[in-house]
Amino acid sequence: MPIENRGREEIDTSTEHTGSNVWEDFVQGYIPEDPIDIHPQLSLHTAYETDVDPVTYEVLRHRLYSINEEHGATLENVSGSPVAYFAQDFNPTILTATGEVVFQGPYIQFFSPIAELQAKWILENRSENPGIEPGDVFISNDTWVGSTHQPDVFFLAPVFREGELFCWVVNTLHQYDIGGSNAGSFCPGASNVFEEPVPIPPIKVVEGGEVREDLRQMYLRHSRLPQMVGLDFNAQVAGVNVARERINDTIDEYGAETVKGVMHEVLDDAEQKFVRKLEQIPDGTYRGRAYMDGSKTGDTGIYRGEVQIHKEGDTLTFTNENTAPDKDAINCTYAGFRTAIMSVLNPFMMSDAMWVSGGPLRHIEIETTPGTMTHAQWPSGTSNGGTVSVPFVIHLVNNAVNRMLAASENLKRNIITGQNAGGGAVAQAGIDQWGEEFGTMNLDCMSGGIGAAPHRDGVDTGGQYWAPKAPIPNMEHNEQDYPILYLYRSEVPDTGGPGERRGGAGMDYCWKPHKTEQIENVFAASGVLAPLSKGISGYPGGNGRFDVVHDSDVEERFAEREVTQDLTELEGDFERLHSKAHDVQRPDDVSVIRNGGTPGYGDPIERDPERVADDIERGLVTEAAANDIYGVVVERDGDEVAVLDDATEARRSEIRERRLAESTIGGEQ
Amino acid sequence: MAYLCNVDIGGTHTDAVVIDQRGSVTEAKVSSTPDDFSRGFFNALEQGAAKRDLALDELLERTEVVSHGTTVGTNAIIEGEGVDAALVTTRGAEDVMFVMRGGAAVSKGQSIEDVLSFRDASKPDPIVERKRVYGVDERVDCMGDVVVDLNEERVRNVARELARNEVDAVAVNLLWSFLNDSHEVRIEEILEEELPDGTFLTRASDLIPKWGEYERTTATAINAYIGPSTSEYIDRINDGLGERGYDGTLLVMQSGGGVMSAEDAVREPVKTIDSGPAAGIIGCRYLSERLEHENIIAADMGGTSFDIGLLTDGEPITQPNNVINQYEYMIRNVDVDSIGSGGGSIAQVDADTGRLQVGPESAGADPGPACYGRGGTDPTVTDADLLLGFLDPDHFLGGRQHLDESKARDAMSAIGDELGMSPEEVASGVFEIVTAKMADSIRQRTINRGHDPRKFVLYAYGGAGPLHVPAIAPQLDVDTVVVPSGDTSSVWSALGVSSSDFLYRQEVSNITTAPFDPAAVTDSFRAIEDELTERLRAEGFEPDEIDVERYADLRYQAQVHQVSVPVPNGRLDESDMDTVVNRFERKYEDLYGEGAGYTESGFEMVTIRCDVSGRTTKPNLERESSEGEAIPKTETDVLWPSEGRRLATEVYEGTELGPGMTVDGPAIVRMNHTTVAIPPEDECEIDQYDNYVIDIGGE
Amino acid sequence: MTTEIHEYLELDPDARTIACRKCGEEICDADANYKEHAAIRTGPITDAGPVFTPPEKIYDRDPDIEFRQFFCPGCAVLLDYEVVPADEPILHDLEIDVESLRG
Repeated sequence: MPIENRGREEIDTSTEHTGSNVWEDFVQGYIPEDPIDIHPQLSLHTAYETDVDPVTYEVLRHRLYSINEEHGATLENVSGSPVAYFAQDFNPTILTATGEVVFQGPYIQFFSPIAELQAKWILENRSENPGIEPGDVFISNDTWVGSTHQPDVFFLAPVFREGELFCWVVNTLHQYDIGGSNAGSFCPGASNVFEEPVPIPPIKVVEGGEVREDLRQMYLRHSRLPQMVGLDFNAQVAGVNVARERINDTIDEYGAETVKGVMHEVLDDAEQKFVRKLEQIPDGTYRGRAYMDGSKTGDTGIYRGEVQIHKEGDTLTFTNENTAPDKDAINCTYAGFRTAIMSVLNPFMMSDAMWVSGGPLRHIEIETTPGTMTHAQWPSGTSNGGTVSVPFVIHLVNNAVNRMLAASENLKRNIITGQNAGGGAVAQAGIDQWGEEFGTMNLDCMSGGIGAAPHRDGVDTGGQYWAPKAPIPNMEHNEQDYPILYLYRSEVPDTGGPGERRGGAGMDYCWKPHKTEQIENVFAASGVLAPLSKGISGYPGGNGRFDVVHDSDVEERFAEREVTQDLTELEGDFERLHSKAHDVQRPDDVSVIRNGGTPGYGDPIERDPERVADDIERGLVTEAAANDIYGVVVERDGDEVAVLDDATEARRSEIRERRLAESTIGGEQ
Repeated sequence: MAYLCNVDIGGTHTDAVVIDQRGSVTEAKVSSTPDDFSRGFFNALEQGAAKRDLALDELLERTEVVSHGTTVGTNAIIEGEGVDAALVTTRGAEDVMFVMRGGAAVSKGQSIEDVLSFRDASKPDPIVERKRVYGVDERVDCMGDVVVDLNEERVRNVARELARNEVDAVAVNLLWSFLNDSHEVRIEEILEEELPDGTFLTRASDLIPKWGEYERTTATAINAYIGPSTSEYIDRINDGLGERGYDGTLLVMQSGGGVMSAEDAVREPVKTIDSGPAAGIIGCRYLSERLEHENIIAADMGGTSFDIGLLTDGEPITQPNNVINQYEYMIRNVDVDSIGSGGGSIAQVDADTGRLQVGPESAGADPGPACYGRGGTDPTVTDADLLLGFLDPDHFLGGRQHLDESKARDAMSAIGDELGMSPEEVASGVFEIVTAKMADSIRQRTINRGHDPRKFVLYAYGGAGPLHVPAIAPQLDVDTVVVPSGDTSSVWSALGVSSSDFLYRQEVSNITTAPFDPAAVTDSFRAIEDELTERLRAEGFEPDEIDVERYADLRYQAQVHQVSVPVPNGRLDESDMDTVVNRFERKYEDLYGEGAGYTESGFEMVTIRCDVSGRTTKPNLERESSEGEAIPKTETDVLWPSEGRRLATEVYEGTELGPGMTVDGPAIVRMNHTTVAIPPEDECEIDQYDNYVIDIGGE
Repeated sequence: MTTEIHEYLELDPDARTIACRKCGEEICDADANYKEHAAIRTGPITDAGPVFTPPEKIYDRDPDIEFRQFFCPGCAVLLDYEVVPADEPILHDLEIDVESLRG
């Protein structure tokens, strides 16, 4: 079928090829320029059909999305590692030949906007040596080229068509252990990257369809569990191969220029949708701020992070002024900052455009300051990017975006007041109940609350909006594979931030070592000192915690047929640990970790008192909080809770009066 | 004359199907009677009997089997109309059905478009109110050892409070009870002592002793939630049948792919949820045996959804868990995936981008497609079908529903104007898009599970299936489409139930590591199959009517995914254990790709399963050959999207066709419940079962 | 033509003011930080609810964390909060470019 309308991508071949400044990238973080510098020996497929007919467009759009879903299912199925599965800590991506993200999967969102950086860096710095050829697969986990942290490993495959590079298919999968000073590769005690897993910049691990055994072995050699990493290696190679084959089948059927044309139009559509939304937001500056508690294990410093979103017309410029300098173990690189932006903007503004990152990214400028906690320079520690630093930046961006959307009557219903106000993950290691060495990250951490919106409450223990399908493990699953015994795993009252719309509640998980001598726990989190998220009005969601009672009497209580539900009832040494902590837990030591809730939306004294009564019955709001914060007075009749209307009205009046009586106006003293 | 009768109770209608031993089928339809479902049940049978000039008693006296498919349990959950149920569980695990599995619970069962949107993010309403969840102090661990003895005083206090609150049903589920059920059994005893007789009690170690407390608690809680109401009406039907001359067992369809006795259905009603789609797939299996097809893609396209199930090597693919109302629960069921593409799928133009999209929004049945004239103004797939010429406005659904072509045209034109396309072009585009989406869905579910669709036959049913599925076939390189049993495709589910075997299935978890002890494994299987076989004998099945199938779910050690493989019968030895492991590795690779498995990890056997089935009397669907040739009723111009142009197309009346006739495409066959489209260059032969077998040529 | 810029705030680009949407009270100039002109109540983080731990119980020092609440000076509706070290300035989170609204 002849193509009437044709476009051609511009590739600049005028200047001599130098690539990017690789060693500067390795220090500052790679920031691609426009255009990128590709060696002329690599031919790119540049012709594309413009004005694809609407039916073919929709058919192909669905087909390409479906191919990406198949790729994701391959990863999900083959990656049997619990860490990857329960957090859905992987994602497939399709990118254009020059690295724009066309489609990404609905798994953990951190990876796809970063895949663009990896693809561009490979185009600039590998197109000459060793070259980019059909059947190649590159791997990389270098945070300064593009990764959230070292355990997140990218597999990138160029798709060729008649000798020309047509597009990229990429997947990323979190490896449980890829080296570093702590089992599980989170190193909250690290002072710099040399105490962490080694960053690997892009290397060609599959060459023309053949695995390079020497490079594969070197990669696996870094890990304490090379078998598991090897399994995932196979999964990731299989994934890109399947996606590559399907895309070729599709091109066979529809023609390269038509398929490319659809990719362009998908991106243009996403861009269009984003710009239309920006038109409804006033120009101005929107800011978010939060405080990182501790830079490494043992540190009690408090470090400010801030994000500013400058909106002018159809462009958003992100800056990180007033942010603390990079330090110890709490950093993310430019790539991490960038991905945090899209992890928020996609669910908040791109739900009607299938989260196509490439569109909005055309209207986003990032002007962060290198050498800061959120644009760290090498050799800062970045291994906690996934659990600490990137979620921290997500809080900042979330807080600012809430204000941006609140300024638009049409868009405010897209607000999600926050992600869980504090929390992180615990890596655990030791000898299990079956006598084998074990190591894991406990994926209970994925169940904080989902934020509220103007028209709905938050979702209690609803997970993370940047990993919408993640299933936390069953307790029985964790107890089978690891030597732990849960005392409880529960939703926590009052962690859903009060508001007219209540925030989503968080979750406590409490366990002790079982049939083992000890468990080594390494906790990497933020928001233990103070909550990090902010909605619009409302109160904060309850934040994270890590408490332990050492040398407790829990086993005596078990013998008395009591399964204790409150650590403060136990005899023993009660300790509140910090957000970066290392603790050795023996059989009499009981630990509890809390995933925070999310902020409320709107004034709690505006909340329908009947809903507060339901919350109390449901065990999510205490009577004390109902009275003190919501101003709702109730009486109990058995297990029914009834609102006392007059007392409530009086209480709420009293609250209003006290607010003003206890305040000072702005500049006044 | 002997009969098989099946009654399907739905939310709105109750359908009865009476099949005689010559294979002739009589249908009846009445309104459902939700205040007492048994009334509608007998009303439907009475109507069916009357159509054969029989009184109800006369029919039932001559009926060999009465079987029953129901959506009562399903609807009770979806509409939140179960009873006031309570859950007794391990202290500390009270929030299992509230935490659910975190984020996955919010997105479970939703289309991808909804997964990506948090505007309406929520978890479902509780099955058991939080204040009705009672934790008791006790604890068993992963080895089945008791860590905390059962605190009986606590249990008794709970039981008394349950009695005080007059709960209708109680579910009991403790952590690890499948390894050591002593505490659950003791709790049940105490509850029986303290609660009034007739309180519905269900315990997990009895219902579904499998690993994974969330999905197990949900299954048990759902069983309690729908227990009393389901058991009440089934008991009433059972009694009523006996009073009216039926001396057999009432058979009730399970989602697991077989029927069970009314007595079992009363005890385990959770197994009836989603039994309808399962029945359709079992019907396909029955047919596939007769047609000697090994691999089938069963495609049911209705008004709102497109349901896909697979049969491989002649057997339906099952999955360990099912989802209802965002709750995931572990009752093994015939795997039917539902996607939002149906006759009512709405075509629209995106306001920002000007793109043509079809679905996932649906006009449903009310207001329905624009052409239904019930107030719908959105153009739908059915409106497109009408404009293209596939549907006759005066003969749709046997003439029962008149279609207004002008309304379809108006609705389609509104979109056409925005796109610069004529209404026919839009209609053709809508048809193509929905075809492509369904093809993609099938591709995802076959190729991604290691199956090559080219080796499959498509079975098409549902109101819109026989029209659209022949167009999907070429996109998958499938060369045969079968429209089952002609005009009865709308009561396909009823036929499916009638062709189901009696099934007892039990799954038990006990995680062991390779090398597996063949003697211990044999004993574990025998414990289950002996009991189940005994129960089948008690139902009246002879040994030669009983089949035993064994399965084991294995996983690579410390990996998440489990794969189910068959296990040899009889006394097992070491080479059998090797066989099982080899089967696991091969199937793992088939499903997940070469090199996906990693033998060095070691193997674990997680769950064993016994499917013990009793062969029931099956309907005879074979018809006599018809005399003569197929003669078209009329001819009409149809715009075939695959051709991009209008072609003179012959139109046949389904009632005038019969076994042995052939129809060449392009052609349309009008039936009372559906329309069959035979594309150009394809040939359709009606076989001896009245199936329309379309040979997909061309391409 | 006033614009809603927050659940409880509206901005009038011609009058160049920010006012409360609930009671109409004019709070400040449109260019200003409304939080600096709100009724501000300061206290420990434990004021935010029974679920918060005093920071000095987590750290072995008092990091002097403040819970600030910002209310409409007219009707006391809750506008915003901050959880910050006491010496941190009030953040100007919502800085609208008034000219762009007028243009």
